[in-house]
Amino acid sequence: MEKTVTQKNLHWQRCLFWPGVRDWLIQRTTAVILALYTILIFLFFITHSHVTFEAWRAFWHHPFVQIMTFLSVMSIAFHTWIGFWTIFEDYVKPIFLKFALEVGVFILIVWYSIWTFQILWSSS
Amino acid sequence: MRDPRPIYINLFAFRFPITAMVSGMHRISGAFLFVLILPALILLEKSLSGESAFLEIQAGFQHFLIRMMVWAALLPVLYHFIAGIRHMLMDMHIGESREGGEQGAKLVLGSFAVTAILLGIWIW
Repeated sequence: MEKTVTQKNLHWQRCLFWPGVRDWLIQRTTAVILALYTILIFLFFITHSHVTFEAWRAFWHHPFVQIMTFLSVMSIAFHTWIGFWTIFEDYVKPIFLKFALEVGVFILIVWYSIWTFQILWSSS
Repeated sequence: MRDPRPIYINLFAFRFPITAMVSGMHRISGAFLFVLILPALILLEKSLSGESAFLEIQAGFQHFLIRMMVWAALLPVLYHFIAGIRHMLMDMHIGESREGGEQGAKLVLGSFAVTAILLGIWIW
């Protein structure tokens, strides 16, 4: 009886919340968001052969751009975390060094995210 | 019983076929993108702080050397973008075989070279 319940749970967890599947899914979702965001920024520069300050300011304060920026900041945070975790896990052997690098990346991700929000939302 | 967690990889013990090169460069370019966040945020903050600062940055971008630096900084963006698309195509079982993987890797390097040159011409 108990075994059946465990297997059922396992089956469910393997769908989305199993760490490997979860990271894989997050990495792909964030990748698509960041690819779209890259195209959005590229389109701005393609359509503005000469960028004025007004156009630049208007672009970053446009609601759609702000939503995309918000999604992209979150995406970069998760995408970077999973990416570096994989790299450190594969190539860095000493456990203390690995831990220090992961903490360093974590602090930078949080710092950059808050800083971006300050730049775009504190003085608009 | 063997520990099922990912093992530490000694990079000096391998030969690198083209597929491994393309995949490794995806990791390297990704790590480099993280380094780019700091200068990008500094520029974004300054450019939105006022019109004089914006014009100062714009004047800076007129210099040929600065333009080439911008181009060089955008290369990992471009590479990570293209190699990422290959990654997701392979998730959909496209180009997953040994031959398909090699062809995909060649396609990534080829399209990267072409778009890198086009990007250089556009910036210049």
